[in-house]
Amino acid sequence: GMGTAAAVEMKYAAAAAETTPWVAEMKDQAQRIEENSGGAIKVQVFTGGALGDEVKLVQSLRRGRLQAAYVSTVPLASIVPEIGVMEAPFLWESNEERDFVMDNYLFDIYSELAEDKGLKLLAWSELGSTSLSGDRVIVKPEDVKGMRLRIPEAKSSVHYINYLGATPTTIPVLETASALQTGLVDGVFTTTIANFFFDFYKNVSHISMTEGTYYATMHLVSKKWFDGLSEEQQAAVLKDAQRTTVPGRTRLRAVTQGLAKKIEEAGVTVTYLTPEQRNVWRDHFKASNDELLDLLGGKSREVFETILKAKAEFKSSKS
Amino acid sequence: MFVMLKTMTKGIHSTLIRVEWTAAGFGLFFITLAVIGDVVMREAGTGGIQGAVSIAVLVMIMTGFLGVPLAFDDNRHLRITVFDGLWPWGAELLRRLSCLLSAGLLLCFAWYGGLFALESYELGEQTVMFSLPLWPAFAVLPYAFLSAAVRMLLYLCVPDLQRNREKDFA
Amino acid sequence: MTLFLLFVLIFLLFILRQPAFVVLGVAVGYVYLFYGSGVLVDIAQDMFTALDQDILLAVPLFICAGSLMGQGTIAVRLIDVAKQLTGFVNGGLGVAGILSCALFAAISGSSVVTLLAIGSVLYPALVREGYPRKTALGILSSSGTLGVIVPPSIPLILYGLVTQTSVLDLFLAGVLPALLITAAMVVWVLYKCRNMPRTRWNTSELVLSLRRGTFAILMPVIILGGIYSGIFTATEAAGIAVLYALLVEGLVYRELSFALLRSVVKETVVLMGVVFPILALAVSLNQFLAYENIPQMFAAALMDFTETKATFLALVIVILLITGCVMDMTPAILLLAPLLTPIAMTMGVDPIHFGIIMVVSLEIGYLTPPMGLNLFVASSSFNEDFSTVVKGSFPFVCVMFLTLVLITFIPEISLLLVSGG
Ligand code: NA
Ligand code: NA
Repeated sequence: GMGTAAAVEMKYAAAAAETTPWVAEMKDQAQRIEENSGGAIKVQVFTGGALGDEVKLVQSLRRGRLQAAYVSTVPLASIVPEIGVMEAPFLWESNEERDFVMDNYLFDIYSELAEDKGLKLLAWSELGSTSLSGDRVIVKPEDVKGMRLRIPEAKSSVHYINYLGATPTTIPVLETASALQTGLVDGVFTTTIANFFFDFYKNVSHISMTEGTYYATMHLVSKKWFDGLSEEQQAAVLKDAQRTTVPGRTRLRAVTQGLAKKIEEAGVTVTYLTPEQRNVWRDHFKASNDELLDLLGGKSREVFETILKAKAEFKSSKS
Repeated sequence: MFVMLKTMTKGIHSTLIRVEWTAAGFGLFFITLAVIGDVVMREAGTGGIQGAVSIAVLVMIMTGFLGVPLAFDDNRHLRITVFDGLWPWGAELLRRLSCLLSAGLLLCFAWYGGLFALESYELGEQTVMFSLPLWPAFAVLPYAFLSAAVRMLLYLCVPDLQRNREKDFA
Repeated sequence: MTLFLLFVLIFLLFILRQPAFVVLGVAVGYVYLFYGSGVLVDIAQDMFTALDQDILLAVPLFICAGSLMGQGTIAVRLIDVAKQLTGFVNGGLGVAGILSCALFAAISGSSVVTLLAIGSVLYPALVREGYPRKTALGILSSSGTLGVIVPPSIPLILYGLVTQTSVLDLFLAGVLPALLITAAMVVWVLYKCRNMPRTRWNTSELVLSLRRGTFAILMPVIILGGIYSGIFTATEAAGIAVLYALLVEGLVYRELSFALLRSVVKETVVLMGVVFPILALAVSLNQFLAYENIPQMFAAALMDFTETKATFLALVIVILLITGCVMDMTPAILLLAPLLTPIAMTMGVDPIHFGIIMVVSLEIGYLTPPMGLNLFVASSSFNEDFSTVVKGSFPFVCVMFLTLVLITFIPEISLLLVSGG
């Protein structure tokens, strides 16, 4: 850095609204990158979908039009289909187990898969685990049968809801609160934070924290842009990147708990599953993984095998 | 010689029209069917075909862009007409000049649309549910602008190919 | 300097008779080259992603349904009912024109489609009954604009799309303002046409027209009822409207022919071809502004300029009315809603209410020269002088402006029916 040279511009965008915890996390990361670069990189944060929805953000990253984005894994489903493996129903035993597997094994696997598609994975954080909402208490898989549930458009979520004998419905986020109001759908398959920020919870009487599917979020950088940076600049972008996963997750888990409480205070009955009840769900889905892996294709089976091995390693390290 | 050129121009034009109208008709039919089918199947409790509506949106975009050259045939594109009366003596010259200019600009549009479709092909972009390639849908952009540019050159030779021309001189 | 050149370029292209979407495309290319990324392929990406939205499926389907009903007999039957209901007062046929447009608007999302469907039948009738051409043109062109404020409405769908607000709430919020505008227009016509002929009240004729028009009248009930009882979404309602129109015209009224279908397809595809490139390019311009952070700067400047909510709203109305004079509603909403709505929200204006303010203000723009879509359509399809249409519509512009002031400063008119909030 000669000091007089113009700073490199890094436009960093998300579809999430300004008030969400994800944007707080982005701004932290932006600040760190600017500091590490000693002013050689100037980061500009765009929120609320100003530069497009998540699908478009990823499209723009791959073309090098946008330099960085913070997105959920949903828009990556058609680019890195293997991402759906970690969304397999009732795959994880605990937060600790999942964090261990994700950070020690999956980060490298998905980094490589994403890099092949022109995306550089800086760090990941989380969207959260899914709940099922509706007009009734949901404690066992049969309770969902026949319900019409709004899902995000991804193969893994269609598979999940079909396997419960419920009807998956992919209507736009924008129309979902209305659809709940009019009864077009009975409930939503989504995370607590989304339930809160999109007002889905206002139109249901029950939310059951089944935590069946886990969704991660990703801080992505355009490979096209990154490759054009100087070595110092690249180092500045990467330096603290992986560190953000831990504070990010901790913050989001705290926020999730707080929002669940707010939702409860608003008069919605929030149900948590007991370990025995969770086992019933896990058994229900036991035979479904094969089907899902076929559906996802690519290297999904290899990724799944790795996850199983890593889970075993975590278990033995604990005993 | 001139008559032959005229016949050829008309031939190209009517072929374009026939192909484009047929494609657009099927497109519209598919959109309608997909939306109605989705509602009916959901109400029947079968949940519809996941991803069918997303495909319908792509078909809608393709149909809409086919409408760009077709709207030229009826002279329906919005245009500011207040300056039309300025040079009554040069009306025909101006008309030809405007045809040529439109053709040139539309070719530029087609060029960048084509680059976009090519990029998408190279990136291997796909739809979410059926993993269908997206570039054929994107390719309708360059097609539509190219076809519109061709229209302009055809009108240059045979002005009568464009209907509602009298609207221009109202 | 480069900005000045841009305006010269736009002016030149218009003089050289280039279509609006071509001029817009050149202008967007120019700003990308000189102020933006410099990569023109970005525009193609914007154009495609702009249109790749489930909600937009409603646009061709509403145009298609409207065209089916207008060219078939549903519109005529609706008009018959309205005529029987209002014929007994002086100026009753004029009032029937307004009411038919309002009824038809409840099944059509567009202003032009409404004007064409009702106008093509009622204009000759009004002239035959001795109404001055100017008045007849004014009545039809202005009540045609009800198409975009009575739900369902394509502009409200677009507003919901770009501001991330609920389309259902926007539709609900449009109901009372639409009734207010309709009532104001009816009062004006009753006054203006107090010397026009009337017919005797005839119950049996009314019953007959109701019987003949049952399925036509049921249509708004099915569309709006289906949306609010959760059978289909506002977007899907457009598909149901097509299905219902096909069934009624085909099976009940038996007026469906291959020629009719062909002409409907043609009308729909051509309108898509006219609207889509403008819509897509407007979004690309929006994306350019967003990438360059211009909305934030614009918001800051506007906030400095206005102190209270009232002055802000007054300023917004002025901006929108001027915009409406020179620009069509679709690009105006796509360009201005993402710019103005966030500011409105920080000023404490409900985004749903703001959507109604925008649509009503721009609705007036359909009737103001030089760029007034309903003026163009009325003048070309009824074969009348442009200036006659402008003069005939002027009193209605004034009436609508008064209702706009009420709608803007009494938020309850819009928000009363919207639940939750
Ligand atoms: Na309407
Ligand atoms: Na106007």
